Amino acid sequence: MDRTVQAFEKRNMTSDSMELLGSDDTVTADDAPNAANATRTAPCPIVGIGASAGGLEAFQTFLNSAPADAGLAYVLVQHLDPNHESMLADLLGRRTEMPVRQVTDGTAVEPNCVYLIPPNASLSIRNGALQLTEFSEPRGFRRPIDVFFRSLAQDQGPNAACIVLSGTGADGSEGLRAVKEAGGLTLVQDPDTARYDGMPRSAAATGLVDKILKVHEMPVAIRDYFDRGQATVFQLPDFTDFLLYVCEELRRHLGHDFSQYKRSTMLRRIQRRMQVIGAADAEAYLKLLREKPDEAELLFRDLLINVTCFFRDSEAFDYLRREVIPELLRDKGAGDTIRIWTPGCSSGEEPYSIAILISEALARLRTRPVIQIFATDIDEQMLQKARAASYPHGAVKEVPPELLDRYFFAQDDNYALVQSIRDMVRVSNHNLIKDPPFSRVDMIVCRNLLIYFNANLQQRLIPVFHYSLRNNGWLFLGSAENIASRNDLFEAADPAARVYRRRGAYRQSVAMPLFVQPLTHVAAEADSERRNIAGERPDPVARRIMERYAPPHVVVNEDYNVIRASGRTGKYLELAEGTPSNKITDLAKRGLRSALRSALENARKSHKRVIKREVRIGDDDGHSLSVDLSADPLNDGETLVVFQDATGLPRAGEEPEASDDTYSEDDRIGQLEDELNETRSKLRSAVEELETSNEELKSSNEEMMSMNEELQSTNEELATVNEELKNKVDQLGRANSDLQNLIESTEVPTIFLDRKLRIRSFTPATRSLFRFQEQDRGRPFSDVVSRANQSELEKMGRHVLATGEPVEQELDVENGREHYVLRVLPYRDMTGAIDGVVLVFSDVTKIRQAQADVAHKEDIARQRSHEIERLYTTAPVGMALVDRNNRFLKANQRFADAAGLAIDQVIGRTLTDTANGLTERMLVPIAEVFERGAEITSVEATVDTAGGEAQDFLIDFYPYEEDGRVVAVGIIFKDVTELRRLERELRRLMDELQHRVKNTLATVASIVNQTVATKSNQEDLVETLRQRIGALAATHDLLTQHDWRHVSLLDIIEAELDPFEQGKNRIALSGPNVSLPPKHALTLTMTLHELATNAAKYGALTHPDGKLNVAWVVQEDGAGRRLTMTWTESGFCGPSPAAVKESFGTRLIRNAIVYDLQGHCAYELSPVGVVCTLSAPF
Amino acid sequence: MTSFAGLSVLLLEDEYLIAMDAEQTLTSFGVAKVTVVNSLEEAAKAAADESIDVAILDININGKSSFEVAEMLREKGTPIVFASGYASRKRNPGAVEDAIYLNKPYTKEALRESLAAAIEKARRSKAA
Repeated sequence: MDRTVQAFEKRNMTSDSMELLGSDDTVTADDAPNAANATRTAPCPIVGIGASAGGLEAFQTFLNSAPADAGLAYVLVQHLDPNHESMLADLLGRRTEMPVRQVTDGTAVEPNCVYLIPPNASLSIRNGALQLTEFSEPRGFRRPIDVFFRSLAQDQGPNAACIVLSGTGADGSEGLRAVKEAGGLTLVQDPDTARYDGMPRSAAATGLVDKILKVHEMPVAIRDYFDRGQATVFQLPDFTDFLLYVCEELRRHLGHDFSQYKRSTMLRRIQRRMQVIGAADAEAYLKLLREKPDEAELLFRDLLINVTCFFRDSEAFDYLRREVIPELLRDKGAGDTIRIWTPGCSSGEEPYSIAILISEALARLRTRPVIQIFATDIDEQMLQKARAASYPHGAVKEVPPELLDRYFFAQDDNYALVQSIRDMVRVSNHNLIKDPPFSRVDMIVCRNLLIYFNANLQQRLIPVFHYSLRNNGWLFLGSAENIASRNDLFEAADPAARVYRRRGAYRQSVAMPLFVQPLTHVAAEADSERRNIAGERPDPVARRIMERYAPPHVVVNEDYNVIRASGRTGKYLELAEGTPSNKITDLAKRGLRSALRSALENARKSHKRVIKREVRIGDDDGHSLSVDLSADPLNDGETLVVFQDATGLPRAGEEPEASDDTYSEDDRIGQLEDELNETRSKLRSAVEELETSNEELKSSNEEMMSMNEELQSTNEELATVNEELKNKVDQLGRANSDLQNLIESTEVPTIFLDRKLRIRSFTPATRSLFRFQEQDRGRPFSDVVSRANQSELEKMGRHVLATGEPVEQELDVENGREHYVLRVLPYRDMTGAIDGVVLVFSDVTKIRQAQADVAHKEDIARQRSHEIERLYTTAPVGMALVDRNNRFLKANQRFADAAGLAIDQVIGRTLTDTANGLTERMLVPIAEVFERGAEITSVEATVDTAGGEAQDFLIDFYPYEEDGRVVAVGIIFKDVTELRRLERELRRLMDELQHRVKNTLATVASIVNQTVATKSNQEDLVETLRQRIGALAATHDLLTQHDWRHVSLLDIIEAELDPFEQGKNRIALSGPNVSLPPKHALTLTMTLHELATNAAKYGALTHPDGKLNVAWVVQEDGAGRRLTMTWTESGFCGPSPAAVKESFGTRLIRNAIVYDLQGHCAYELSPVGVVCTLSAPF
Repeated sequence: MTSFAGLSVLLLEDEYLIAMDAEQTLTSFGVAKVTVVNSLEEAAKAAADESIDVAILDININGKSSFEVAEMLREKGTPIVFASGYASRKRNPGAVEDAIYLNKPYTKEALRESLAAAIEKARRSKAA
């Protein structure tokens, strides 16, 4: 049990044991109907918070500013779509450190927690545990906030607070009323700050709201309220004075006297007021009460709080319907009037309930009496509600459906009563204590009013009811009330239902007003109070004197109604026939009436005591009585009337201020005529006023109709907006789910920190760097174990928080084995304000590796490129790259030369720009390569250069592809002019060689043929052939040594003659050094061979003294060079020439030179020698 | 065997020994007259002046081609045998169409066959 409450109860008891205001008030039961049953098992005060449209924002604002350690529990009730999972817990959990839980059935409330209503369930609380039930109403008629607030009030009483936040409609208003009645705190969001002000305005309109605040001010106000529970007025040594002061102030401001209200109730409600407005002690509160104009009004309203609804306490109403009403209506005709009075009617639910019951009963009757129900209260605000006769859902929930259908119609969010019921009820401001009671009433329904009064006042009110009622009239009290043991006045018709019937035909006079206090200064108050109290409760002596010795007297009010009477007035007053009246002029016995009236009028006019003497009264027995009567004006228009038998009163003169008067009939007639005129003129003006009002009402009605139409269209708009919002929520839900999946699945370590660098959220990938666990959410980031430099990260986080600028930094982990790029970004909430930071770690380890690889490959590529460049510049070929427009992308010097351009002018030009013999040949193959994408190699081109020489080129074309498409063609050409020349030369040489070889073979064949024809000796034949072919071979050797171009003549001669010389010094050679062409060499060789052979056989070389001289000269003339050689043999004696036969050798000598070389030969043989002269051009 | 008796043969050959050997061979065939020339000028002169029945021409005469002479003879309808060391006729620049080729060194029989073929071909050509 809460200590505050405990202390409160204890002091409450103490206060009850003390005598206050001289009353015998010893009430021990708690008068607040629900608080009495409060179980208060919750370990802390519970704050119920209700919201609808716009509630999320309000909830968030509230939780943002709600301290997490206030020791309060918060229960949030929202109108949730029953078909949607609520995301509230998620959304709100971020706004507070308190745990936010969606309620499950039976959740016990704990302090510093936030509880959320789940979708599609009705939430209530019992014994400190939250209960979930199914809604009993269909969708659209549910009022979850009212339901919860009512159960909260019932369960927790003053230990509860309720808050109504943004929303449309009126849910929460009824519940708030219950909380207030149970002594709880009631707060409402300032409607001007609410997104939807319907609920706040409706709640505020109950007039029961303690404070209207902006949402962010609420948490502190609630905490302060419950904290202040300790400082109570009960700590005063004597709170009697305090209460007196309060009552005085109330009376001064409002004219209502609360001194007879039950102290415990008053004290507790004052105490609550003090808590609400934060008055520290009694003194402070009194000061506020005096100085703050509304405070008296607010306290007044608090004091009058009560719960009411239609057919509250259905059993009692059932009894009423079953037993009382048929009785009331019995034997009543159309001309009769049934009068019913409901004092303390508050907002009118009770009188209208009765009207409905009676209307039901009347429906079964043929003749219908007039029904007048007087609904009275002192709270004008509540009376206005009663006049409006339009009630929220909570008020009509006990109304049986068929009655609801029949007597109510929907009006906006409310239930309005039909006109026929409203016509039966008269609502007026009337103070039961102060104002004269209604009279001739058939039934008084006064439920749950007496409990607010102390026993003394209760005692006094029962006679008032007795006075008001007709004989056998009904009195209907609340379940905790009774007739204060006045069984002499009332008999119980049904004690269980608290229904009583007036007993006795006589009317006991009552003293009215029951309590009248002159307005005095506070300084004199205490005395005044006590004096007044003494007057109410006379001491025994005074009482005895009053009873025994004082003359019979009555006190009448302005209307001449008797409000108090002494004993023994029966001689002068009697109950007249017909409708009973309380008017003294009706009660006075015949004869006394007009005198009495005259005396009263005079006394009122003159403000002096008026005495009428010797007024004669005739009694029923024919006796007459002479009476002196005195009318003595008191305060407040009341007049004391004293009756005395004649001569009992002192004469005029003895009392100078009294006027003595003798009654006259003329006076009386004149008086009546005046009165009549006055009444007529009043009536006329009343009729005029009525007509005016009627007109006004008509125009008001029209306005209402048009407003109704506007409202309908607004309603439709709202429905549309609602649809849109639902859509948005769906989208948001999806987006949220996407986001959640993203966070769960992303490989990028990401951490969300709040403004205090506490962990708000993180992605699972974060665990590669940090040892996060789920429960780390909410912990300071610095607590987390990580592989990164934690303090550095925090420093960056703080920097971003301070500047709002994102930061990016590289991060090496594990000594540079892993690389991350850390981005720290400001976390912005939906308003754009910085609400933390986001740390994003991009693992760039692989990227870094790849970068290194790329760098390496770039190096290689650069090197290759460099090599290619070098190749371009140094290769002995022309190279170029052209695009589809034949524009040069690249070219080397040789190509530039071929194109006839300087190397630095080539790029950007096209092949056609530079067309010459060579480049023209390239155009067609390039086009073909572009078209086919295949290389073309070894295109031969022979072009005439500027110098007129033919040059041969070999050109290759290859495609250069990017993305599978030929974007350029590379060209390589080489100059093969020299190669071609060499090839031709080689061919020529080969042909020549073949020709020579074949000719040589033919020559050899011829030699063989000729030799065979002349030699019969085989041995000789072979030797001759060997020598002849050997000579030819020797010259061949010499020619080969000189590439078959030329051969030295001397070499030929020496080769032929050396075998014959053999150191014998018989051969002499002389002549210039001459080189001979091959044909000359070969022909000469064969000629010399035959000459030498003959010399060795027959000539100089056969004799020891033989000599051979070979001399040659070269002559030059205009025709060319000519070789002339002379072969001379001497020193021997040879055969005669005739003996020498014409042989093959001789023929060859004579003819070969001539035939082959177009030369001459003179071959002369003589016995002394041989001379052969040979000559040939060469 | 074709008889070459009474024929007049022009032999163009710049090698003395070959010319001598060929002349003897032709004589042994019964050829009436062998006109041996060793230059293109002489060959042209002989072709123009003398009545030649068949010509045996070396293609390469001191480095020059004998085709001009061959053309002269062909126009006259004289049968021609080209005697050459070149491996095939394809190697012969400007080869005369339909000529009979005789590869050096040639045998007696090869010479005979070539001469016969040339004469036969000319005869057929004339008949056509």
